[in-house]
Amino acid sequence: MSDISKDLIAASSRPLVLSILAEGESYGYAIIQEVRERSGGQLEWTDGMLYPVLHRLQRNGLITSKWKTADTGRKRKYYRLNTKGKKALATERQQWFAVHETLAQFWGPDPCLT
Amino acid sequence: MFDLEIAIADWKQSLASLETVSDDNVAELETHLRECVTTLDAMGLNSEEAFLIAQRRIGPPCELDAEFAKESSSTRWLNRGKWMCIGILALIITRTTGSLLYGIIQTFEILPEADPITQATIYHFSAIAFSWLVILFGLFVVFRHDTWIDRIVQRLTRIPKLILFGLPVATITALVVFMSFNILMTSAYGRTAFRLSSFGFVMSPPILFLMAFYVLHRVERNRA
Repeated sequence: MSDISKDLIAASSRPLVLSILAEGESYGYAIIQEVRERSGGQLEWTDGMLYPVLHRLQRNGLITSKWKTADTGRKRKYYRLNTKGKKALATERQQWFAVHETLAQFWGPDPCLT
Repeated sequence: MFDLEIAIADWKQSLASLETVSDDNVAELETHLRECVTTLDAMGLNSEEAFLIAQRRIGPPCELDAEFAKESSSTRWLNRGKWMCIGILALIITRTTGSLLYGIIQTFEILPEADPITQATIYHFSAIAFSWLVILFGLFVVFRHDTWIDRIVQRLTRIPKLILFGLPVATITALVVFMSFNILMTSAYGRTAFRLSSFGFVMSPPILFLMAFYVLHRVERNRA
């Protein structure tokens, strides 16, 4: 499969980051790793792109951030989803499912080849 | 021989010179780079290879600049506003120290034989030198970073911003103040009124611009 387009990656970054943070607070590097792992390497982000996304979510009041020192002594900026963020995630979920269901009507369910 | 710390310092410097990337952003990206290097190190790469890959994964500075600019176009102007405030503060400090030094020279007759031009030259140069020292010191205090060398280098990359935005604004302010001062001098008001207004002139701008600088700095911090 060819690489997922830049536009689609940009559009999906918001629900993805919100979903990852819904599982607990996290920091930039771990979020990127999580995306890579969960997408099986199909979603290749330029790492630096994540931070403007996080900052925008914070500015919109969906997440909060805090510098903390990890056990390794390294300082990391942790992000956490708040109540407004949880609501935003629920809305995103509905919208993405609506898009998905519409497309699935045309294309049928994903054939399972294994 | 490859030195990871130097490579990281250089890389940070290239980020710090971008207008849209704040100090907090640089710190965050540095953590990311270091985490990435550690992971790659553990996979058996040497530190140079690990650094090159980590740097590539984060993306080139020009791309980061574009991405951060999308996030907030006003960050640019917040940053510029801050430098404008610094320019004006520099001007105020120069004037104040200049007149103080001039006063000392005259009161204690340190240079009795010197002609007025020499005195004035000493007064201006010492004032400028002093104000730069104060500004640099202030910057060091405001933007604290890990190592000394790192700090100095990072500050130096900011000088173009000061020249671009700080000095023009300072010059215009100086002209305006000078003109209004002339009007005041020739006005028909009494001595006390004149003294009071000059006191206001001297006292209010530093407080005002320090406050403006502080507010801009806070806003920038909170956005990051």
